[in-house]
Amino acid sequence: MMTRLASGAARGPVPARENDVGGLRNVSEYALEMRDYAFSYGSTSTDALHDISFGLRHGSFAVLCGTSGSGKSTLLRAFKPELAVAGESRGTVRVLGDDPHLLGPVESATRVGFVMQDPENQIVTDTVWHELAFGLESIGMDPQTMRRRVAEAAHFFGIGSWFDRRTADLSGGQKQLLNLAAIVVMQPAVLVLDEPTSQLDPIAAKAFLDVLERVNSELGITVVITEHRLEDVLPIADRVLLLERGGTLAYDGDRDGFAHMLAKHDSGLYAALPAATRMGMLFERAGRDPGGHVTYPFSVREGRSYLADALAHGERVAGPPPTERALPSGDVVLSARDLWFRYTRDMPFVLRGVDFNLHAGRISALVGGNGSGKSTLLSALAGVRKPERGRVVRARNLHVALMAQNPKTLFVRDRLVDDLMEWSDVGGYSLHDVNNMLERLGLEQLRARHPYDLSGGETQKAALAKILLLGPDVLLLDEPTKGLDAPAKAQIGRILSDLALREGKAILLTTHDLEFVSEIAHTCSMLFGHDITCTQDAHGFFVDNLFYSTPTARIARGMLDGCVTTADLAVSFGLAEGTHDE
Amino acid sequence: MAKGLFATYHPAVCMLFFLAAIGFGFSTQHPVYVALSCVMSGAFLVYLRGWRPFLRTVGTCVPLVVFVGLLNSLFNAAGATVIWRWGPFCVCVEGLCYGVAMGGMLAAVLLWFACYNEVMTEDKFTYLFGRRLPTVSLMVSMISRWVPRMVIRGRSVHNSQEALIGGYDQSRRGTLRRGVRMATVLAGLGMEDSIQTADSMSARGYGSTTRTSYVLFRWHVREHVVLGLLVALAVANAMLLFADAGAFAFYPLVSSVEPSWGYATYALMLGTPFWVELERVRRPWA
Repeated sequence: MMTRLASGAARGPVPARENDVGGLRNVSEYALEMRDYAFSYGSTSTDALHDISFGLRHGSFAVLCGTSGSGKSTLLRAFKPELAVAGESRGTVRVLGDDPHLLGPVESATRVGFVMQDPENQIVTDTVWHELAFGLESIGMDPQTMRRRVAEAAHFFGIGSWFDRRTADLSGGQKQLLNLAAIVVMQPAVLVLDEPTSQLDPIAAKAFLDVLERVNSELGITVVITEHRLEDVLPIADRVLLLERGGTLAYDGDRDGFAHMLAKHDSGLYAALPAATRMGMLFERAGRDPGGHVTYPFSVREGRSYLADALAHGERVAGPPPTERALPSGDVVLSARDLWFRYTRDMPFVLRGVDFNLHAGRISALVGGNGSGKSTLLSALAGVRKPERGRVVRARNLHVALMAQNPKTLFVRDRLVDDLMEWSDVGGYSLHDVNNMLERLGLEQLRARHPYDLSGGETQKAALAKILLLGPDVLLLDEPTKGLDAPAKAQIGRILSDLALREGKAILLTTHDLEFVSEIAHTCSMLFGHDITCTQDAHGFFVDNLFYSTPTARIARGMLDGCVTTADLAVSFGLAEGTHDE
Repeated sequence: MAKGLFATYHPAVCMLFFLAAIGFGFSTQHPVYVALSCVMSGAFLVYLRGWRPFLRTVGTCVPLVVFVGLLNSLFNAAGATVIWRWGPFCVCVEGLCYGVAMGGMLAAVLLWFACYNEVMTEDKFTYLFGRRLPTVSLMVSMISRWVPRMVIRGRSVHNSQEALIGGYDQSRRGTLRRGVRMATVLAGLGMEDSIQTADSMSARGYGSTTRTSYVLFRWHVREHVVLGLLVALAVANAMLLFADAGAFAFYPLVSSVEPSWGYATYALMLGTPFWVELERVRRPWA
């Protein structure tokens, strides 16, 4: 099989890979398989992964779950020798029944396709067509077959209309779609994806997963994916693997069993589950089974029918759904008055007459689509960009700090503690202050680490530490939750709430994460059509919105209006939220 | 995208045309040939980009022609017909003519280059010269992706740092320090990026075997025909043009211009972008 595939790829015409899999040649039972696999980063260190055994059948769509640092990436990379993490491994790894290390380089490149997190860094060439062809050029495919494969892939992924574009001009979602297409064009039997949507906004992320589902169901390519947010991916998965801290496989089965297991024993993933599933857990925890449902709801649709059954079968609503929360009263410290902005004079306006007030002691959220001008408004409020018309009014002696979208752009030194000392002269703080700040944000253990070696959540906290040391009164944060897993997000949320409520700081953050906003923000504003369409208390905002709202609000609409988060549902039914562990 | 059918021809054909137009353009100052080259290059540029950009290009060419013409006539006193003499300077009609012809030649070449830029886009160039050297063409492609990315990165690093501490230290030393800091951050981030790019490349089989190249352009019958005609015209021109140019002199007296078949073949060769349009099925004149 190996030689036939290799020569086929080089000379064409190539029979579809599915034929190979279902054909008469020795087809393995599993597309991917691990038996008693263990891995350690060095011969002396303890095993990062151990006792891992599982097999994925051809055509399955598996989600690999686990908190940050549980070794998900290391596990995934074991299937791709080119990307394998350096270290020592034991046990067997099989790709279509073969040891990946024994495959020839061309065969190894084509059997398993690998999509990584950052859409930008995976793109190698400057044009879309060249990127699509890159892999085929690398495996030396003849030009005639290559044209055909590229055309097929462009058609399947709907890339035809931007085939001639420069890769630099694509949106983040298009870039990641191109990365996927550039791999599927090589006809892999298995696709491995390591947090492919964590850098995308929710709409682009959903679009990406929709295409991935097509790749799985229409081409029959086996998929293994890791994700922070399970909201959109769990409804399409037919297999769930859970990797626990310490590197053992804690669960291997279908998604329903996964939810049942998490209801009994939370592995720090509760908050990552789909809203519908969390609602189901509320009832399961209370030992109730409304409407005789055997399985958990996973999508909003299933959630609505679950909730309707619960209400129809006499599930009592204990109290009225919570109404709007009280807003902390704080003075207006920073405001925009009739702000007009454009980048150059021959470009259209990005902001048109924006009026906006920022209050001390409040967390305000700014939501809106990509390119709606959220980041621009932040930098205008920070004074980095000068408006063309209108003005920004600041309270006297107000310190405003802006944290850009990529917090890595802030770090200069090799050790975190040195990096935090970097601005001690301009900020007028001492090593003592730095140590206090590290302790406060739970970063003491990482003081000697290189800032680039921190995880997503740690990076965000470190950047926050660096900014807080300058003693700002106003924090403008551009997507502080981007790419974070649920526990890290919750932690950032707690820190921000603390800063606003205890220290009276005014916080404005942009985000695509509506659930996060509904949990921590006091007010929420929507930017659309170059202007702020509405500003409202966060709870009321999501109750009044129809589409642009949290999944829970969409589930409860018309049945339990006013419920925006799972916590709201719990209050309504008089149930306790969370899992047994908490 | 350049309009006109010529730009749709195989890059090799387009390249040969421009090589011929620019090569021959450079090799003679015979006034008729220079005039033809100017007119044809100008017409092609108008055809490709419209009047406005053409006038802008001409606007930069005219001073050049005048400058070269004047400079030559000031410093070259080999002509017989003196019009003005002052100290060491001696201006003569022949020198002036020679200067104008030279300026015209430069202007024509500049116009041809403007057309070249419009027709021979970067991907065509890399395709033409990179196919034999796939690694080189990949490198060119990677660099032209990398450079604008670094510029954007630099801007975002600058903005995010400036947003925090830009207001604190406006002295020259502070600015310098921030500049150095920015370079450090950029280098670090660039390294991070390139590790991931390298992963993405090896995951897709980079270096696993001899590279091939994606074929973006193909040879059709029309390419062969036009290529053949171009070569024939170029050969004819090589003989006729050099004969005419050899018979023509500016000094000591400007020779008279003799009629020649060379003008026709030269015009025909430079007119390739126009006569290939005859192939259009509908309204070839529109």
